[in-house]
Amino acid sequence: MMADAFDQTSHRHDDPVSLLEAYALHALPEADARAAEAFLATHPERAAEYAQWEGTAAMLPYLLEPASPPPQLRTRVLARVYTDAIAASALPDVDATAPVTPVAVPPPIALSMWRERRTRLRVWVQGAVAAVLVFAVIGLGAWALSLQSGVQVRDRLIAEQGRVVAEQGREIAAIGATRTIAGTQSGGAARGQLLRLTDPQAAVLTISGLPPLAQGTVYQVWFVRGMTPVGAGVFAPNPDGTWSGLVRGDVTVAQAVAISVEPMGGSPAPTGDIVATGML
Amino acid sequence: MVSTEADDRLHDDAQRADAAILQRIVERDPRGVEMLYDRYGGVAYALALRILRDAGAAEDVVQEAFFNVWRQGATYNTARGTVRTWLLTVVHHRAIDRVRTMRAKTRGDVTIDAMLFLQAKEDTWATVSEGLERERIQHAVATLPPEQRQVVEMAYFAGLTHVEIAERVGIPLGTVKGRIRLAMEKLRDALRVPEAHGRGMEQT
Repeated sequence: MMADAFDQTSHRHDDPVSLLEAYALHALPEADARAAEAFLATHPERAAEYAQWEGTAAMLPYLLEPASPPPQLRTRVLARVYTDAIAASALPDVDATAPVTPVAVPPPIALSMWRERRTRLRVWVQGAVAAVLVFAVIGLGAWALSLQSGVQVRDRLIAEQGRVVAEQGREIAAIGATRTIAGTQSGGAARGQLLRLTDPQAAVLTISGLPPLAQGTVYQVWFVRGMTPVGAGVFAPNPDGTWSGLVRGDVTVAQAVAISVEPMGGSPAPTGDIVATGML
Repeated sequence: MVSTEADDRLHDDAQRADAAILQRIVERDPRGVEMLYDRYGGVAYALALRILRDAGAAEDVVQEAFFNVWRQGATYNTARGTVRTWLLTVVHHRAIDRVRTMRAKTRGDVTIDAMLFLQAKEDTWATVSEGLERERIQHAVATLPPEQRQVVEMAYFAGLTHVEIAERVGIPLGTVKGRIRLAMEKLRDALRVPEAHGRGMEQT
């Protein structure tokens, strides 16, 4: 075997260059790893060569059978990143041109139209709240039927999140503050989560399974307080029906979140189909 | 597996997609991390889970790795290499460091029999073809002599140093190093790992 013809001497006498392959595999004892690191730091001409070993090593995970990470991991990852982005003001936001703040003064309209709109709005809100309740009941039922291990996992996640908070020295929304959003009859397979952040005026929405939009329309997010839906921003989902980003509004006083189809640019009050709802 | 033009195009497309993701992260757009997660979250989790054998610990490592990539993105030199290599290197290092710490605390050991690929059966290689990269790497590793494959897998997936591998397999250290070197050279050539222009991507 050709490999067996290699030197049998102690690794302490090796040229650091000969350690680079093993270093890329993270297979060196601490002292040798430090030597390899120091060698690379002082020999930039070797950087490209080492990057090839590192790139080769990074192919090896593809030997493993694919694994599906638990869904909450995606939320945890994104919550942490978005929270950091908020702190650094690098925000991917809902459409900045859309009404992302509550409409304090409704546009003037005729009394008859106002009554009609108020009635329509009440129906819409009642529908939204009813839909939220239906999904909440279904969700709670499903949750109650889940195995005890599910509860343990949730407890563990909360505990882990608490540890992360301590480590980072910043408050990150606990996984317990994540609220599920489910598709209505119009929304079909839409499923998502709203993650509350320490900033009460923002939350991270991640959703998938949204139906394609007709041309000239967008999705608009609403925080529903009592009977009043307040616009929290509009967005156009990705081609695969997914979207993630910040939504703006006072999460602390809203009882529910809803997503409706609205004309491009959004509406001061909801007019279109509700595709997804969730209880806050 | 013979590389075809279609394979090359897919490979190029994947590289371009990775470059676009990395660019977003460098520009401090968190959606880049989201895209990165959707693309590589599965393989990152599989790697961490394989090394740590604990779902909770694997989740921690993956979360830390993605956050590390996000945080380092502002100063990352895109000429250094692909975002996939960067991410998986961070995941690997963090998982190995954690498993070594756990092993030191518990004086735990790694039994060779417990390893995944040492008894690789023929159908292991036949049943997998999910994606071009998976197919390429599995083919490349399958062509390695078993003794070379063994040392690479013991190092990469079990977190053993080459000294520990020599002890467990019962061969001289120089032989282990030689096998690692030969295996890595063959894999690099078979996988056509491109040269990067700068320091490697170990920013853990």
